[in-house]
Amino acid sequence: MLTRSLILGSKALLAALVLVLVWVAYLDAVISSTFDRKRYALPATVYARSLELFEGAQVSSAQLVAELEGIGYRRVDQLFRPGQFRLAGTQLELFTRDFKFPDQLVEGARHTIKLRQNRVVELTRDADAIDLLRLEPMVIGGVYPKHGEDRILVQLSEVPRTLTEGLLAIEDQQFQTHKGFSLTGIVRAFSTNLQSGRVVAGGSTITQQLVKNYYLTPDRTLIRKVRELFMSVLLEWHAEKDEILEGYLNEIYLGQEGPRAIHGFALGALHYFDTPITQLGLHQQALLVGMVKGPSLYNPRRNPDRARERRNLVLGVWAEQGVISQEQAAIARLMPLDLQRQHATKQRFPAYLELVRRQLRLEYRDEDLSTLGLRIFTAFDPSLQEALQESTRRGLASVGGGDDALESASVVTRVDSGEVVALTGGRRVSQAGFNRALDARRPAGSLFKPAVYLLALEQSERFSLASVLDDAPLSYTLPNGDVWAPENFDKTYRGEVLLYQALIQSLNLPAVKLGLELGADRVKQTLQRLGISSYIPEVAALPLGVGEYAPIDLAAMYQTIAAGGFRTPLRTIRAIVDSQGQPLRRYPLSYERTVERTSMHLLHYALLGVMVEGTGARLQSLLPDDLVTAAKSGTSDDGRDSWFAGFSGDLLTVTWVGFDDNRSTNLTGTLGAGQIWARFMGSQAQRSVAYRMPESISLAWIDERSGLRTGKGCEHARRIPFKAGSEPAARTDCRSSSRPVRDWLDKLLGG
Amino acid sequence: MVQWRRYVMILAASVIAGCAAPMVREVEETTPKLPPSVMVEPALSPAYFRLLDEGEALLESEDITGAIALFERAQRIHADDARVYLAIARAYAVAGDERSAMAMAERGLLYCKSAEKCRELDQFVR
Repeated sequence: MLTRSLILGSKALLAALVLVLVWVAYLDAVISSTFDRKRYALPATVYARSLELFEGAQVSSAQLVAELEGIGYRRVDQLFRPGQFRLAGTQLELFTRDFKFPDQLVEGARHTIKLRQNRVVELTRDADAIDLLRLEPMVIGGVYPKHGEDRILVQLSEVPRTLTEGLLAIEDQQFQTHKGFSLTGIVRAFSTNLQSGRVVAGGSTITQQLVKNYYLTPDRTLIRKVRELFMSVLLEWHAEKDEILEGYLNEIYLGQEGPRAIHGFALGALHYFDTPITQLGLHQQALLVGMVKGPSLYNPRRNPDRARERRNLVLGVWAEQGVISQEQAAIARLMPLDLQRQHATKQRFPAYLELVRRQLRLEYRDEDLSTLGLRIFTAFDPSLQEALQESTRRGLASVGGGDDALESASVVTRVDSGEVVALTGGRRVSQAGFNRALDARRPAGSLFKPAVYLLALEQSERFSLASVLDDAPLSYTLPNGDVWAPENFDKTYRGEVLLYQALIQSLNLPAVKLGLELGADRVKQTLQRLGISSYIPEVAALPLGVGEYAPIDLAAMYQTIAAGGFRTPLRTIRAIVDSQGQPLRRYPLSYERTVERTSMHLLHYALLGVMVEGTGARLQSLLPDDLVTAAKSGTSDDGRDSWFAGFSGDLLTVTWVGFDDNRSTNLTGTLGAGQIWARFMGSQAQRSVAYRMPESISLAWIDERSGLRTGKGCEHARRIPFKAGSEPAARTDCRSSSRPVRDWLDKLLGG
Repeated sequence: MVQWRRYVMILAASVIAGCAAPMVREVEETTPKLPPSVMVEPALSPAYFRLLDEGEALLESEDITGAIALFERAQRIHADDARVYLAIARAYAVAGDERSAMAMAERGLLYCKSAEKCRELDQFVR
């Protein structure tokens, strides 16, 4: 009986042993097959444009300071390391950091920037005069995997000695000698904690912690602990100590910023101090090491006193263990927490980032975007974005009557490149959510009218800016038998108006009649040529903007107009490089002429007129006197949508104002969206619209009541551009010169 | 006598002119102002010319992508100068992309400020 029991027991033991061996073999397979090839999911990093400073560049010292603070530079009294700047009157000194651009590695150095009247007048690098300074770009966000982990990989050799030794002093003093776990380590941690009167060290080795983070769940069960122990031993067997330590430095969790999890010391250094890991001070290193024990508990932003206490404890242990001297510890203890001021620099511009992501998704899989560590360089201009946000806030405050539901969206592009440089998707600019700039579906109102007139002006044998159009009542029978009778906004009729006047005054009836005459299908084609890519209905009301469009659609259309008839894709991305810094893709400047130059020149004439004598004229008080802009306002039925689209020589802005529930705003395009548009353009546009007049354009004097040719100086005379040969043939009976009587007398008298 | 007849003629002529000629007035220049047919050359930054030169050097060494990247940086500094469009047009032409070269040159025509520069750009367009 006893023998039988022994045999059964032995068999059970053997079976258990085999099971354990199989389990260990399985764990070994997991370790050996994954650790060497452990590839972190590296999120994509999205950068703003780099600010390039050159002699003559227009920038104020306040803008420069904001830019430098935005990229994490610190204002100091004396420069002694990269990432610092000093402002002395109109001279700014800065110590730049190294930065690898897609096309160039720029090494950090000491620079001075001298400003006069908000312009750069002198630049130096290490005391030598230079003509161009390329500042590193601001990180504006990332594309993270679903679990939200973000990290910057670092090699062990790049990490300060004090940080690695200090980490081991706190977390695992036996690291170099143990085989994965340490009984003495557990005892020592217990003893250290006892001496300190609180928990300052843990019993798990670095290897165990790494295994737990890599492979296991955070459950506190016995089976998980046993598994951790086995895997730690196996990991030590397979990997070198340095590999394990490097893995730990990159893996460790150090806090949270919204959905973004901060992993690794390199990212932790940037996140909390905006300082590269190589340049961390002892006080900063100690704080990060201290946070390993409880990133939330010792979060220096939420619990600064607790974090400082923890940091000082860590410094004390370091001094005792000989990692640093007592003097160094004493000095470090006196240091402030030294956190970066603007900790929420990331994901501050969710609406723009959403556009970047959509453009990326056209070419990259979500998985690649969140794992390959791509670096994405965009055209985003933080300075313009801040100004747009401020203009939106002030503009809405001036027109909204305190109604917080009144929404707005704007898209800003650079006229000469089609790059989207700023964008707002709603009045709460820093919140992600419904992005009206990209996803609102609203009628375009009168913003479509330029397409109708452009189509007419392209037919110079039939139309010119001086063509007489009919501004009279219209009844149009729709395909379903209903009768549609559009009206002008002011519900009056002017009889005959000239084409340019109809556009400047945004009259509905001449536009609809002209659209019917030209054909809705051709108006639609013109809109498509100008850049509208969403669905456009071929209906009689198309000149009045019927359909559903987002501000970005209208920005594409007006970009072509602003660029002089050249269609260019609205780009956010300039270049993408891989995690090793190798260029993957460039998005070069490209143009496609879709409108002939002279027709566009004539259209520009009318759009310039909108700002001088048309619906936009009342916005002039918000613009500098010497800034020439061209624009078009738009208002949909009952003022549900207020639009304003216009451009200077350098910037195009399209702005929409309305309610999400489609109720009336009681605002015209000028009184609503125009208030935001003008505030922004008035403060940011630097160049007037000033394209060279095509040679095939001629100027002629016409009578602005009849459209007939007339003479300079005649009553109602106005000089307007024509395609050469399309000037009106018929003339008024006024043939005058600027000095008609004197000329006649001179001739008569032979004088 | 001659003098007297001269004054009578002036008076008569004035009356005739006043009755026969339409009422005239001096008017302001066209509103809105028309773009100038001859544009003034603005002061350009040395950095702009350096980037153009460096781009040309890359173009000569057949690094077309690098050259265009530098030209685009130059364009961000002075987007209203025709030289940069001519430079990019040449780069596209070297790359064999005639269509892009033509579009770029045509865009540059909007900014050309001298007959010579306009002619050079025009060569790509024709």
